[in-house]
Amino acid sequence: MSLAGIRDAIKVALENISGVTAYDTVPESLPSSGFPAAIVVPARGTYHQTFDGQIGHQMEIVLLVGQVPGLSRAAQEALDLYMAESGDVSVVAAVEAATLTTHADDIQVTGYRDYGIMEFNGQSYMGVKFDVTVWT
Amino acid sequence: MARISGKLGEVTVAAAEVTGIKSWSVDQKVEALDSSGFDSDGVKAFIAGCSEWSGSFEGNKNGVPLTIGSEIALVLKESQTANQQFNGQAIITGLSVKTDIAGLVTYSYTFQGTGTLTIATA
Repeated sequence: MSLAGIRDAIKVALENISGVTAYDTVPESLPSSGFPAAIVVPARGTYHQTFDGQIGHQMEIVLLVGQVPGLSRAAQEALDLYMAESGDVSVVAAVEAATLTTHADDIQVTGYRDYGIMEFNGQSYMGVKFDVTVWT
Repeated sequence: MARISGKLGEVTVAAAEVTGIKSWSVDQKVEALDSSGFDSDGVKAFIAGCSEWSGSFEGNKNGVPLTIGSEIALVLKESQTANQQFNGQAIITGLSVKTDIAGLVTYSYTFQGTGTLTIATA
């Protein structure tokens, strides 16, 4: 049961989506050939959820589909598919099917937000953030 | 005298921890028997009658639920310190299950104590 194990399990689940390059920690840079890129980031946590020491983790997945400018409408439509509840490239379906082994009891993608242009390492990208709750 | 956090509380049934539990409560009460008479000068008087105790505990599902109607050896720990606990025999009188699309499945139990409740001494 570890945060590193949870991050790794989510990364592996995201890599099951064809074409996605996933990171279990924030990378120093994003190679131009590595899109879509999905980055797993712990956001918040709650200790002592139960007497036997359960911890609740709130994680973020930052999905970046490409650099701005240069985005096409097709790229935005592709992002819609990643945001769908189900389907071959659904982030929700992939993450909720993650193999958590002993690291957590359950995982749920609760929503998405901040769709649009976001900054990373001084560059602008088109992307979206997913909120993920993990119970250990 | 010291305040303590509830974070190291615990509920055990037959000496085994009920995992996933995150809170418990116990209520003790005693009957007040009306002993008023003509000699009470118009002011009601009472004497203590029988006492009883009951309570509840709840938390996340972690395995099969406890069986209602069974009498159990129940220990309600405020902490992991030996004398910060309440214990006695009790009957599980109720189980409520809650399933929410945005959360974990939770179990809530109620119990009725039978016999003496040994209370915390520290």
